[in-house]
Amino acid sequence: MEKLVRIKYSKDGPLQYISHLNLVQVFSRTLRRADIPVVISGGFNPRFKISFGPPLPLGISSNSEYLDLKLKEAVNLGELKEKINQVSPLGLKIIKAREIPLNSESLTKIIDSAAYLIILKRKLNKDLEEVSKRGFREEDFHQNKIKEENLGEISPEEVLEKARGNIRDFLSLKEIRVEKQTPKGTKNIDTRPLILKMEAQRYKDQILKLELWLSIGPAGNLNPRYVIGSWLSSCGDYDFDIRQIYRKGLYARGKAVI
Amino acid sequence: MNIKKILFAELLDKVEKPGRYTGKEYNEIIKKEDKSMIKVALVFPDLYEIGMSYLGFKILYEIINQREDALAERVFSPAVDMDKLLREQELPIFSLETYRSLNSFDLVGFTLQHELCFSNVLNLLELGQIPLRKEERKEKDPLVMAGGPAAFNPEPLSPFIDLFVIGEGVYVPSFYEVDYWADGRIKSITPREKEAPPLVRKRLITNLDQAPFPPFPLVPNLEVVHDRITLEIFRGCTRGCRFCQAGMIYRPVRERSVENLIKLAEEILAHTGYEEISLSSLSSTDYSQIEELITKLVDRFKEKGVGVSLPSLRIDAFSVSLAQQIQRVRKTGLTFAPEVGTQRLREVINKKVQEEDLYTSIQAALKGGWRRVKLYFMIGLPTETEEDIEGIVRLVNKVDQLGREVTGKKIGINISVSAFVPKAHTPFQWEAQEGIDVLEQKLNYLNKRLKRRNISFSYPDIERSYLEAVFARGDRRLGEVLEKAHYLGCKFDAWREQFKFRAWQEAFKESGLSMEFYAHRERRDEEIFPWEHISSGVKKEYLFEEKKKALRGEMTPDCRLASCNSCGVC
Repeated sequence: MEKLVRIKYSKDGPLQYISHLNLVQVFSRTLRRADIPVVISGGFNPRFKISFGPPLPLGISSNSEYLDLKLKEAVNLGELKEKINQVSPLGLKIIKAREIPLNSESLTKIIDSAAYLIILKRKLNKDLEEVSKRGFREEDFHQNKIKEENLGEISPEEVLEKARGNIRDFLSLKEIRVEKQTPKGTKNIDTRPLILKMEAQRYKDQILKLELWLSIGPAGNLNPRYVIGSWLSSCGDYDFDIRQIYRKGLYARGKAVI
Repeated sequence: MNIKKILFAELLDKVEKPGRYTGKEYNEIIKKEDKSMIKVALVFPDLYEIGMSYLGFKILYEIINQREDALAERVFSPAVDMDKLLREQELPIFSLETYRSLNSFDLVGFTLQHELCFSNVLNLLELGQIPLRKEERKEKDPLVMAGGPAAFNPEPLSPFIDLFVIGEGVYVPSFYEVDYWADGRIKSITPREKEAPPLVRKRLITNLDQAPFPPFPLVPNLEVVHDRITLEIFRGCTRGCRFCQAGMIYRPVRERSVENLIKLAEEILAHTGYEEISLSSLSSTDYSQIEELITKLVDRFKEKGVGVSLPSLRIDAFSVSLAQQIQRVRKTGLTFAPEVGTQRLREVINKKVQEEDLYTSIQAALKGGWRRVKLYFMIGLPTETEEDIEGIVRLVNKVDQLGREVTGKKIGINISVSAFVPKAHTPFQWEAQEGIDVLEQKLNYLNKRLKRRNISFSYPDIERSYLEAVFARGDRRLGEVLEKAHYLGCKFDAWREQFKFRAWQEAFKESGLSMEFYAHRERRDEEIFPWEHISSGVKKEYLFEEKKKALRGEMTPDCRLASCNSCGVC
């Protein structure tokens, strides 16, 4: 009797640098090494019956990705997880596996939002960066390494407040248009309706932590870089580099997927 | 300097296909370093996707890493975006295993698949912060080696490479002195040291079943060019096509047994999880038990959804039942190599194929359900006339017509044309390459005559074939040209969009050397070649005899089917 198994897995470390298409291949090969009895589709190019949830954009890591596997027979789910994890490449790990009814709705149908954690590093000018690394010295003033106006705004609380203010202004915009790269060229889209929540959580040692919730659905699976990019360009004198983005959760109608 | 930290924090987000630079694929070998170990960088002077497709590279990786006294790590050419970032950050090119800089290895070994990667060798030395010329390198710098098919004429790279590996023979260019005649031809090649043999002979493995074969090949995370299990069923080829270098330098034929191959396939499959097994060799349908092998492999693996493929099918050996076996699991493309347009020219190049057999095979394949065929041709071969070019058009038309007759519809035809490049160690090593203009005209003509909706036409960049011909038979004076071209920004010459022919012309001009001298000059019978002191085992007299037979349109039978031709290998 065929079984459907829903799997939660992580894609991080070196594997965050491969595309979703490559991941599909990596996963199939891992399943074959683990000797999991996945149903094989017919046709000219036989494939395993795997349905993936919303793809994770290249360069973003995650510990809450999902896929459904159709199995030829019932298996022990604890063993399934063990067997796969023993032969998976670095950066791919099964976190949870749960059997679901064969007629369950697909992941792409039920998943409607994604939460991202974004780590930004404040861009300082070169001299300031050097000073902040080794600590301030009297002579920095004389060598003109630090301008007074830079010194005046070093308070972390102030940076955080300013970021929060910028987010409020950003979210009050009626439209946030970005040029989205698609395989067929660029497409101008309004991302405002897709932003569910955006919040600056903390700022310490030039690192700003943001949380961003995006809607996923028929309108697409927006790469959070577009939103962060247009927010940053609206911030004016506060300049940050994106250091890391994590997808911390995918949700089905507000609830955990499994 | 922490290469790994900078790579992950600052570089990977800025480049295309960052997975090229991370390593950490399944079956990667990371050895714990020990001071006494010899650290070897296996360098492939092209992109990750290309280098990871070569079996030889994987075999070396395995052999070295199995030794207790050595470790091997992989280094590939970075793409242009990463190349630029590395230079901006003054970071050296690094290995994928432990992100170690190229200059910190003891041995740096380049794989040379063809002549158009030579500029990448120089670029990698520079990115590895290793002085280009061997006399500029110090004690602390690595020993630089090179091997592979393009090392059979090692001379153009000799100013930069300490030693070449010919099969398993070793050639040290600085042990030899080369003298020239006033007109540029070579007068003599003499050993300078008494230990240096006058002739460096290739060594070879005689029993392939005992040869190492990686049971745990790396499984790339990115899609690479040959993304499947490469099961090498035999080495060498005795068909004797007169333009083919691989067919000469990899002699004799040595097969793996069916039992061993099935055992290997099982083992590799369990350790990699690939979905396809490709039976690789120079001419796979020549394997003595090909039907048995395919049937057994297909039966064994079809349950797992694993297919079997043959990289290229030769017309006369191709049987419908064979094709159907393959089709049982996975539909693979069908490739035929009629090579030229007329039977006369086929006899000149010693291609043992009858056109009627091609049509019979294609007809059978179409009846078996195939709707697409790929045809390989080569233009510019010795004695080629307009009639031969017209013959290609006629042959393609016939295949097109056959497709419609059998299927009632138009079938897809992929035509792949290449330009003849005379190579060292072949019967055509004395021949001139045809001029650029003539080759272009022939290509344009073919393109015009075969422009149809159901036909795709892939053609060579003639200027690149020209450069390839220059280096394929170049001498050590070309080292200077190579160095100049490198400083003029030449790299990735094998890639159409990056090839800078003007820069190469400039480099030749500055060095006072002529490209025509190397590519377009017919060699004298008694010519001393730059590779005169390198032997593949095939005798020069045999090659010369073959050349004369070619011009008479006389064929030489396959020695596996007829008697020994005394080529000198066995």
